[in-house]
Amino acid sequence: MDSFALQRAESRSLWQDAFRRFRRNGLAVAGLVVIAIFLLMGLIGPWIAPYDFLAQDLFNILKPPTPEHWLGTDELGRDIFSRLLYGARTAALVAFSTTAISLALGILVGTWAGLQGGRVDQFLMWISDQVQAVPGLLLVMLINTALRRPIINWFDRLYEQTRNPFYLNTNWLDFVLVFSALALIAWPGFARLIRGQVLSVSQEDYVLAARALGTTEMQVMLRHVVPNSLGPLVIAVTANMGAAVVLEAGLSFLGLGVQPPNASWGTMLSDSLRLWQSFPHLLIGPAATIGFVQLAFVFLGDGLNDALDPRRVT
Amino acid sequence: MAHYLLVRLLRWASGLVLIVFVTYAMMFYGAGDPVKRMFIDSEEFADADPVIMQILQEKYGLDQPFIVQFRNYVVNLARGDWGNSIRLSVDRPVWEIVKFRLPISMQLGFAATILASLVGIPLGVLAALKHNRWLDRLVVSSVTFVTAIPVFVTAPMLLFFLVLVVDVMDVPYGWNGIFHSDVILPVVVIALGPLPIIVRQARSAVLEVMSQPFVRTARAKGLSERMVIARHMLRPVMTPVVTTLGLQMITLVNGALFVELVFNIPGVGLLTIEGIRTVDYPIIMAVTIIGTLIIFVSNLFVDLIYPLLDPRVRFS
Amino acid sequence: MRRITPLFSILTFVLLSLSVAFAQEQVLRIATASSGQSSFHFNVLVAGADQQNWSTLLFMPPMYFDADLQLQPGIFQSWEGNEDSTVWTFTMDPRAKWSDGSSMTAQQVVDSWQIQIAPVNSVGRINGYLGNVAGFGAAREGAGADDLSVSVSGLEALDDATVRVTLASPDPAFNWRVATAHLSTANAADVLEHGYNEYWKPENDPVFSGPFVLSAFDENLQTAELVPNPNWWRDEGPFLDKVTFQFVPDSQIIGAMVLNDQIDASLAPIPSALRGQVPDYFRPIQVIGFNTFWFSPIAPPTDDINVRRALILSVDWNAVFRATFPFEGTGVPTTQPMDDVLNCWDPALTGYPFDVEAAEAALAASSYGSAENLPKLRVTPRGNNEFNNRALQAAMEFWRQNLGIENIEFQERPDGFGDDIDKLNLTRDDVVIRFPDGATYMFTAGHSDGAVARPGNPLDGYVNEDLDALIDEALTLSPDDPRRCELTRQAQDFYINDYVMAHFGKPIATINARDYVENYIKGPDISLIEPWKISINR
Repeated sequence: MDSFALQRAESRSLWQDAFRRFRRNGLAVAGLVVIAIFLLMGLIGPWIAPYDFLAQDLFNILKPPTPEHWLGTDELGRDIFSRLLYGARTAALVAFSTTAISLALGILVGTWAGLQGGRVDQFLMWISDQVQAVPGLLLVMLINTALRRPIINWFDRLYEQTRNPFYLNTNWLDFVLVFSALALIAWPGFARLIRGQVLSVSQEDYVLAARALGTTEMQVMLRHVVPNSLGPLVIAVTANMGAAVVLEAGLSFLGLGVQPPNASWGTMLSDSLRLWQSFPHLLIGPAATIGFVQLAFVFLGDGLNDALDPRRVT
Repeated sequence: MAHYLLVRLLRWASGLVLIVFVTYAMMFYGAGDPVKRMFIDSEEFADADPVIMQILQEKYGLDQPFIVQFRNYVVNLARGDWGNSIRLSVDRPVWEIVKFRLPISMQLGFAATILASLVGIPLGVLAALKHNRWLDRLVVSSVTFVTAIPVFVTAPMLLFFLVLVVDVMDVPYGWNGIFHSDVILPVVVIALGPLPIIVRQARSAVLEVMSQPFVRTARAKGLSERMVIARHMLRPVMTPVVTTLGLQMITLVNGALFVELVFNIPGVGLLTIEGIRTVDYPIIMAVTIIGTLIIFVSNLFVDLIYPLLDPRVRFS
Repeated sequence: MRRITPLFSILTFVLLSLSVAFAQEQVLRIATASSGQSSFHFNVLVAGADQQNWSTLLFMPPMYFDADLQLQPGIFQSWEGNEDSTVWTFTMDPRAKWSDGSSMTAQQVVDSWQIQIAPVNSVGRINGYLGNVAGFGAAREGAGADDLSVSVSGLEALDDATVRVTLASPDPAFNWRVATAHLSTANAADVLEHGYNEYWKPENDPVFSGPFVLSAFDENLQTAELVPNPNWWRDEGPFLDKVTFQFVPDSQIIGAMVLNDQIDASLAPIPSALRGQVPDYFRPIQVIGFNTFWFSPIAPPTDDINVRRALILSVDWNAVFRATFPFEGTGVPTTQPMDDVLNCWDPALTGYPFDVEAAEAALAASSYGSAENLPKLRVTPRGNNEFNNRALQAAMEFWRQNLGIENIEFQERPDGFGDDIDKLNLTRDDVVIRFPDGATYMFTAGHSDGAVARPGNPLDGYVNEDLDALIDEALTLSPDDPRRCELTRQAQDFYINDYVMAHFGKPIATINARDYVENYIKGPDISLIEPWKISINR
């Protein structure tokens, strides 16, 4: 029996180890739970919402919380709780698509640069340097302003060609705008990370050996580079998602984000800033939600950091 | 050293050409003509007159094709002429605006950096020393929570609380110099931005160092905890923190954007918002160039100070 | 106790004298700004923008309307039109002089107007004031980008005290037209020497004709200071020792400054939620030309009258009104394009009905047939005014619920549409007229030469020939002629039947000043009336 136990302990992988460490970190687990709920709400929120997030009750505006409206109603008599749920969809969508797009771009550029080396590497890294050389918020605002009309016109043309009502939906347009701007500033971080991993892994003896044995670059990537980069990637992805949620709120506050009547936490916040002194319930909901989700991302990120860094003493 | 600086500068300048070109192209092809937008938007021009529009477009050279406009801009820039504001501050030389506004943002940024480090580093060290105890958790989560709510919400709420509820101050407004009491609240709010990062950096740096063999040796030699910290840990802890501060410089200048908006501080952040809102080409170009310059200088600063803090690192 | 009593009395004395000193301090503190930084200036010639609210502090207008909408002499003491109202003669007040002591001349008035007419100075609204002057169009066509001033044949100074204006077509109300601070006289010599955007700055030693002069202006800090004019030429005032300006764009912050007694007046209204705490700040004032939603008759799909009919009839405008103005006293319902301040207001009109069936029928009868086939609607409330934003969003929800129209692009500001601005279907704007005349209102709002219907403006090329003919005739009649109003009302009926505007309520403009600022009164062109009478009386 003893030998069996010993054997099991030895065969524990890095990931099992990490998971153990992560599970012991209460705050990180709590963060994960909050984020899971947030993503779930983003997915099913509109169906479980007690009201249509657009439906106005012009006879019941600015009402404080009641049993009918758990968080009260806003300046057009819309149910704040339902709008928060819908805003979760906006936030989740922004967080996910931004991260997905920038991650895809980053992996593409990073591996290409890392594997090709030489001039290609220099050029790609120079480009990503230039993206990072401009202050992020400024770049987001610039891209957003510059892309708005072209993207909207593109959707209009697509509709005329396809007659697909999807392209009529201006909600998607706003999302496309926001996450293309956010993704365009986030990819160099991922590209750099991947490239670094590619470079360091490909110098390892076992990779050199694998190459000598005729393994293709693709296989090297899949077998060695990707698993080794997963830890830092997961951490970067978490951080990026959290940042995207806050950036979207900031953009909406500056009037560059999701346009009315769509709901986003940022627009809910900025709309309520006119009235919060007399109607604090307008502000509390979205502010607390953003705060908690943000906090959850931070704790989750910390937890992952601790769990995936084997050098860490805990 | 001089060679190193020169190479860095040349590399930055080569990138700048690309950035300026792309920004100008984005404005020209994406955002449109500022004079046209002015006529669309402004209440003053409710009675739009095509004759006026045409004359203004001629005046600012906006009727020229893209490549001519861009060439003119670059040629003028090389001569030190940043152009005149088209819409935001009609006909005022952009350089004059920048010359006034940049120092304000820089001063706020520096004050906030100092404040954030003075508060953040001790908190981080404290949290690390009490690692995984309730004080650690309290410090990390409270710092994080305060900053988790967007600054454009916390700033007005703090303002209303301090001015109207506890009544300890007047509404800070505009700019009366960095030593005027009006800057306290804006600086505090700006400093909140990088605070959690500094706290966490300091905390993890201390944790890292504490696990190093030489600290354990020092402890084993019987040095008191305080001596261990003072002798062996300060320098290794400072290294990542200074790096973070350098990288946070732009967050400060950028994050100050919302604070400048709320308190109407005439800094570069406010100029950025208003320039982009009005699509005022010369202003947008100017804030972009300044932004890249700030990033360049702070990165350079980190790279130069690093070898001083960590003798193992050399310039390359 | 014996020791404390004298101390106490000294303290009381100090406090009392301090409070007396404060009570006597005649300083008016104003927070300016409504739109952007570009609006913080004191160039009276631009005929609009934020500074128009304060321009009478620095410059005396030609004439002005008082609070009871009676015409009062300004720089011009008297005025007279000829038989057919095509030639107007204005006589200067002999006392009128500049702040350096020199007299104002009739030629200076003409020169100042000619600078406003020069296209390079981009005074958009000058069309509405002087567009009918003989030679106006020719002077603008012939002007180049370097011409700071143009020569208009219909404007001439007969002698130092007389201005004669020759009009291209009769205008019996021309004297009303020039009674605005927008046509105040700046010293043309200063303008030509220092430049159109610079002449008024203190470093250029400018001259003013109002009760105050600009003593300090900081473009960077966005502050300014006014002190009494040493050569003020009216008998009364000024009573204020100083007026200070601070640029504050955020209405929330202005609200906090009012509550904290840091400012006495502001341009922008403070959040309406503060109404309970400073009710005096919200005293209503009369202004003409309220916010209106315009439906473009040119851009598809609203080029189809049935679509416009459907959009207007499907909305319960009473409910929109209730949501838009939730606080008592923030708005009044309206039933017709013309304001009840105007002389031709028709009390019998009831406004568009809320009739979903008729709206559905109209949509079905339109060339698009149904909501699914309707091209995208582009709408904007023009700015982030809380009332307009709410009203437009409420209307959009009615369209969604009652007609199934969801394909709407909303931009807070019209320039968000960029080059697609020509496709804009709905915008919010004001009818900019500065005197209470129905015929002029309908000209501005609906005539094909008016500010709203001309191409590039909210109704972007709207033409109704019947309406044009009626208004053209009405404008040649004397304001006392009852037929003028009759024709105007008929024109309004055409306008209503064209379904080009939605009217449901107008925000009640507020004074935006504390009640201890006495005689702080705004005229119909929203500039201060008789600012020399203003005093602080706490």
